Parts: sequence; C-alpha cells; structure tokens
Amino acid sequence: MTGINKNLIDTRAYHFGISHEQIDEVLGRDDTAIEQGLGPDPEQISLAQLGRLAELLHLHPADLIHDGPGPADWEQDYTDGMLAEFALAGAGGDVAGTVTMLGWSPSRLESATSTVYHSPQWSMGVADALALAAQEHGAARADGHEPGGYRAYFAKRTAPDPFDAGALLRVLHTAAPGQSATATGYADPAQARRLAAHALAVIDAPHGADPGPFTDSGFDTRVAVHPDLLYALDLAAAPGPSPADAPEPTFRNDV
Amino acid sequence: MHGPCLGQSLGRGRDYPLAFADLPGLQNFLSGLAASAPARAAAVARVRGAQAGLLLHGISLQVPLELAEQRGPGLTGAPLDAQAADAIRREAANPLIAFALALTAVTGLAIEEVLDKKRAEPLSHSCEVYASGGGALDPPAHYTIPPAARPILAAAVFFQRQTCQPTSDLIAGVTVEQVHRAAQLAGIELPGPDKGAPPVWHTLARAWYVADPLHHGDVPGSGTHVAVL
Repeated sequence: MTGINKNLIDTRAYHFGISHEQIDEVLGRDDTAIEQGLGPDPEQISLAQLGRLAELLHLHPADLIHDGPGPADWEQDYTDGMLAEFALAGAGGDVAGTVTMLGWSPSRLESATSTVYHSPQWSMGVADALALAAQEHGAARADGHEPGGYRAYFAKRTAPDPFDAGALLRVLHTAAPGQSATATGYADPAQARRLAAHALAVIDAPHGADPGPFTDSGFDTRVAVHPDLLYALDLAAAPGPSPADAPEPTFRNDV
Repeated sequence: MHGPCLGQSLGRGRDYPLAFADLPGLQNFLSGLAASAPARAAAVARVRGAQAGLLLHGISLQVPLELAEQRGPGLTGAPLDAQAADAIRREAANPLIAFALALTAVTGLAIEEVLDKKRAEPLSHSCEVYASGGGALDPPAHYTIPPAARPILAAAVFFQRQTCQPTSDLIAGVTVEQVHRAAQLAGIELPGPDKGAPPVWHTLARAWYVADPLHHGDVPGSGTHVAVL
C-alpha cells in the first residue's frame, strides 16, 4: 500500500540526531497531528510539508513515499552494524576515529555497536573480541582488551578484498621460479598481517631477520603463500600439513 | 572478452585493482556454472574452482561469505539436469508453464517471487534470460539456462511468438498454481518463499582485475602455457 515511509523518517531522524520537536517545527503541527500525518495515509500530509520534511532529512520527497512493505529487517538492522564493525576494525578500536570516519552521531554508533553485540549474526564471541564498553559519547574499547584479537576475528569474517588478492599475486609473481613449495615474497607489514589473518600466507621472517625491501610504508615483510592455497591454485602437488601438525601462524607486531 | 585470457585483455602493468565492469556477463557465467550442478555442495565447489582459476589469470572473484548458506542458482533451486528437463517437458504441456518451472529451478527463488515480481526476457543469446527485479532486495539479474533446459527456453520463445498477444515476458500469464501442479507432476522440488532474504548470491558477486596473470603466453591448456612457478 502506498504511504509515507515512517520507518525511513524515524531512521533518518535518529541517524541525524533530529528530535521529534524539530520535525514538529518543520511540519508546523502538534504531536497528535504529526502522529496522524506520518501514518500510512498520504492524504494527511501536504506536499509542502513533505518537501520540508525531506529537506530536513536530506532526502528527495519521493523517497518518503513507499509502495508496499518497506525493506526487509535485515537491511535496516544490520547495515550499520556491518559498517561499524568494518570501521572499528580499520580504526583499530579507536572510537573517536571511527566516529570521524563514519560521520555518524555518537548515538548512531552506540546503536550500531549494540546491534553487533546482540544480533545472532555476531554471535561468535564477538562481544569478547570487540570488548566495547558503552560510554557517554558512544562506545570505547574496554580496558585490558587489545585490538589484535578483534582484527583477527574480523579478518575471519570478511572475504579477502581485491587489495589482498593483488598482494597475494604480487607475492606469487616475485617468487623465484621453482619455489612452488614455499612461494615466498614480500608484502608491506599491514598487508602481510591481513594475508596471514586470512590464512592466505604465513609471515615468514622471524623477528630480527634481514628486512625486506624498503618502501613508503617501511620495510616489507617476508611472507610465504599458504601451502593449501598453492594446492588450491594447482601450483603445488599436495596441500600443507594437517592443522594438528602445522605450526601456528606468526602474527609479528600484531598484538 | 578479448583474446584467450581475460586477465591479459587489459595488457600488463596496469594500475590495479580495476573493477570488472561486465556484471551481466559475470552473472551469466556464474549462474550457468552453478545452476547445472547436481547438488549445492557441487555448486559451491564449482564457484571455488572458478575463483582459483580466475585468480591465476589475475582476476579476483568475490562472492558472498558463507556461500553455501546463500540462495540463488545452484544453491536453492532443483538441479536442472537432463532428467529434470525431460520430466518438465513431459509433464508441462504448455511451454510457458514449462519454462516458468525451469526458470524457478535456475533462479532458486520461490515461484511466487518469480511470477509476481519478475519479467523474464530472453536475450540475444539463446541460453540467456534477463529477469527484472522486484525491488532493492531483488535486483534484476541475468541467468544462463543450463544446456539441458535450453530446448524448454526455445519452445517458450517460439510459443510466445505464436500467441495472439506476443510479449517479451516469457512468464506473463502463468500462474503459481499452474507451476505448482507441473512441479508436482514432474517431481521438481520448488524452493519455498524466503521473505526478507538477501538478494540471490550471483547478483552480489563482483570481480576485479588485481594483478598481471600468473601465466605467460597463452592460457593453460592451449599448448604454450608457462607458469611463473
């Protein structure tokens, strides 16, 4: 049924920190009228009011009209959570940086992190790994929790991105011919950690070993492409040893 | 696509990553790959194989995480092999009903979603269908009809042209009840409605050129393959 998209209005108002009083002022109506006006009957709100409301919410007036049921719950509920998770991982748990990066109000970040906490989609121990504590201006990393665990958790939940794939192929390109059993090369330290977290490569240089090439981001890290990946790419005759026999991946400078 | 290797079509030494722009082509490739798989696990294995193969050509193929839990071609529809296609043609006398049933199997969507929200238009290639979407969560998508079911598509196109009111939509006028009955007779299991589910997986797939191909010369299998490793 065609009508005013009240969910969208509520969501936008919440995200921009717009109060009901501000909406009231824009519409020039009292609370009861607003409640009626924002109902499903489009006849109860004028075009002028619709235009003013759209301007307040940074939308086109047509956006406020919807046909049929609104978007499914998963889209409304989880997008912010995913964005917050991504931003928090990128910011290494720096909440102030995350707020700046996202351009959100603190309340929106708090809502998103709350979604991360309570959604079954994030039920794999994320609360411990993320370890955020609600504060006055959103949320902050709880004392005693290091971001490394969260980074590792996040990496496991996200597919390698095109930059990871490019770094991986560059390692394979730089590997000397005949080294298919080890396939070692260099990547910048942050990229090396991402490849290791995705189990695409193993950081190959023990601390104190000869540094790799020096680039804008410092000395590159020596990495070895994971033997299972080499096998998957048909570049090795056999997969790596079983997990029980394999050494733990090295996360140098990670935590 | 140009030349024997997709990754080489850009030339070497380009700035990477570079998005692969032919999304319809990507959707056709993936749906064709998965829709004819005999089981969900086989479809996932085929997609993983495609990811590995494309990576050797310098292309990163990204599909949704937890692919096996997604819905769409090869994952939620009935396998559309020769036996299933024969059963559809045998039990659904009307070519349009037969095609609607086959399309349901290919898309992996509930028949209600297919018939109520979509138009299915055959494209210039005889095996491809463009299914327009039903909203933000159900974007338009391109599907490749598996080889076994292409005679069903051809029959539907021919039949539609002979009707009094030809239309480009091959499933216009077909009802849910007709397809349900045909599916029952043909022994084809139809996916149930999945309200609020995310879009079908192959519409979420993306690809990027990420590096020069790992091979020199022509593609593997063409007789002059020289791998880097």
